Amino acid sequence: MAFDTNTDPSDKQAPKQPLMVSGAEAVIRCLLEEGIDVIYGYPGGAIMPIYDALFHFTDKIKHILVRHEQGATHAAEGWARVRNKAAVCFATSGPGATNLVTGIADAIMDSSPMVCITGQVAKHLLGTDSFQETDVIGITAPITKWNYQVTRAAEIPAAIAKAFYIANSGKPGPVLIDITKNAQFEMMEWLGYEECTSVRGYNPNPVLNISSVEKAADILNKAERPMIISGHGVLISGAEAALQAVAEKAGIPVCTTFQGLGGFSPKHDLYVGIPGMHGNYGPNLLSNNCDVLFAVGMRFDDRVTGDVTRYAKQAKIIHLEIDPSELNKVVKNEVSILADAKAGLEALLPLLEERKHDSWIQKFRDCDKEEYEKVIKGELNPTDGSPRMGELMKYINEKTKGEAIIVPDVGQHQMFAMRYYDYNVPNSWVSSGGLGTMGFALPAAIGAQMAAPDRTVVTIIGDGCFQMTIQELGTIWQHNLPVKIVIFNNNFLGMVRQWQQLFFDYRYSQVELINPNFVEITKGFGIPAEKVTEREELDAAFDRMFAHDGPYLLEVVVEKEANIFPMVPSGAAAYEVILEPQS
Amino acid sequence: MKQHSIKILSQNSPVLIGKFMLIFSRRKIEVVNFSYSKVNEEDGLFTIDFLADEWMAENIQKQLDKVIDIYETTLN
Repeated sequence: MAFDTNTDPSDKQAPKQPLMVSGAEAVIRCLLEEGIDVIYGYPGGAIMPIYDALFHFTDKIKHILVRHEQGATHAAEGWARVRNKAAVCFATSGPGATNLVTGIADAIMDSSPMVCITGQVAKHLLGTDSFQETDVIGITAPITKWNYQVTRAAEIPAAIAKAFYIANSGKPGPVLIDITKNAQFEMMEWLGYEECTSVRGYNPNPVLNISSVEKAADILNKAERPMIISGHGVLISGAEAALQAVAEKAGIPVCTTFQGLGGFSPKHDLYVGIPGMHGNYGPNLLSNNCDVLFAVGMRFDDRVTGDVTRYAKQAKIIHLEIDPSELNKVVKNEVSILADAKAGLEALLPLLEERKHDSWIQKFRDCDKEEYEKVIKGELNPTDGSPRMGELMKYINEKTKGEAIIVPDVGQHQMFAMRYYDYNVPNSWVSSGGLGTMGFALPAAIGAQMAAPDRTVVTIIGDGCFQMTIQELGTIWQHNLPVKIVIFNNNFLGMVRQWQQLFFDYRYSQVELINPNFVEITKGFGIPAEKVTEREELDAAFDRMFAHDGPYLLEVVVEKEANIFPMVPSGAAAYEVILEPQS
Repeated sequence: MKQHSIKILSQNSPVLIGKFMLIFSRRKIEVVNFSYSKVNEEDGLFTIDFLADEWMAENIQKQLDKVIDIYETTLN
């Protein structure tokens, strides 16, 4: 057994003397070679050799002991979304592995790079229903970008190198390596680490087809009412500057999807908001009026399009996307550009003519005015009733200058967080979009805070979501992570209640929560906490929270039956967006 | 709806059969024939005949192309 932790893992030269290490130690050495310095995980029987190896490397690699394996995956997602590179989580076999499933599914939907390493029963026990054996490869096949079971120690370095390459390249996503216990114990010769740079049949960097870029430029140069929808791909590829240059040169208004928030400055004159179910009025209504729709790094999620059979039918659609399976999947494109967003936009820029579309942009501003009068004004500046969720976001925005990392959970509060915060810094919106995982936020905030220790991380959580992963307060306290936790408490599963009100004639079925004392529970975890019920108390309460050097929970009792508008009702077309309840 | 045939050159691994079939079953695609032959120690060739419209057949091919251990697909 080696555990020669002084062997510099960054030394690319192979050791002079053959170094014999266990498979478990090889795992840790590989992670160090990949630059990993934090692991989110939970030990158990089938992964004990790896945890034993980790014990000898604690000066080089930090392990965050979460309270549930789902928390490990969400924390890893939080870290990955802020750093834009793969994070790592560990779990044991059986229930440990199955507890990862929700987080892995969340990561594949939102293109979060992640390498999950699970322990597995010994090879001779596979398929025998032995203790804590489960077919994690079969279970995670449809929700991982790649998964693989290692049964021999010698396979470990190549498998882990391949895992990181796949997780980080192309459209990022989660991968899972399942390592049998015998492979962890088995001794192998450590020959150094070779980074993976290619995989047969996998092409994450497609060659840009310039003729498709030329066709797109021709269409955009002739457009009278063009619109750009900027998605998560812009942030993943670091294409923010290229997008701004394209928009400015061609004078095209830009909206950013839910996951694309921060990809284009909300203060820019060409920014027109967010499309989709609870997005802004203009980009929804005018999706039915644009003549060219240029989609960059997004996938036409049904929450964006509404009824897709009636989505932007009049428009020529140009789709720039790195995942070939997304092209022509939901909408039919006039031009498909298979490329990384940054590469595609940079190739397009010189081909564009300088244009202005002032009267077209004015239509968005007219929509903005209507939305402000009917929705935003009352939401941000209420004078009576309980505090409103939009109002809380206004405080958070002002006190953090729109520069914090916002980690919302899933539901009404998430939509308010999306709408009423200025995402002035890219990669500052860490949210569960595609899967819509309640309970995501608290553990994801752990990863986000560790990825950006010098930045303020605010997690916005509903009272329903909070109770799904509340145990991660223990992780936050143990590591003294200065996460600011704001509970929007309406004693309801608010989004479901809103739908029951609007579409099920007020039949509130199983949505009312009688909650425990969140403040006392939080204090029990050693974290300061307070509860606010009155509008007049908000300003000072937020000041106390942000002034506190450490984790802090602020519970605000908000209006019980508030609704989030605008709204594209389920089954409606995007242009049928409504600003208030319809009779 | 017509019958398509897709040939899949992939890693010679039994795990892949499950991955392929999930892509078909998730979309409720009717598979009418399925065969596998080992090309060499490393490669295997699957042939799957199925019923789908053109758009869905192309969609299936794209999804199969996303499976990392698939090297090449040919749709007829």
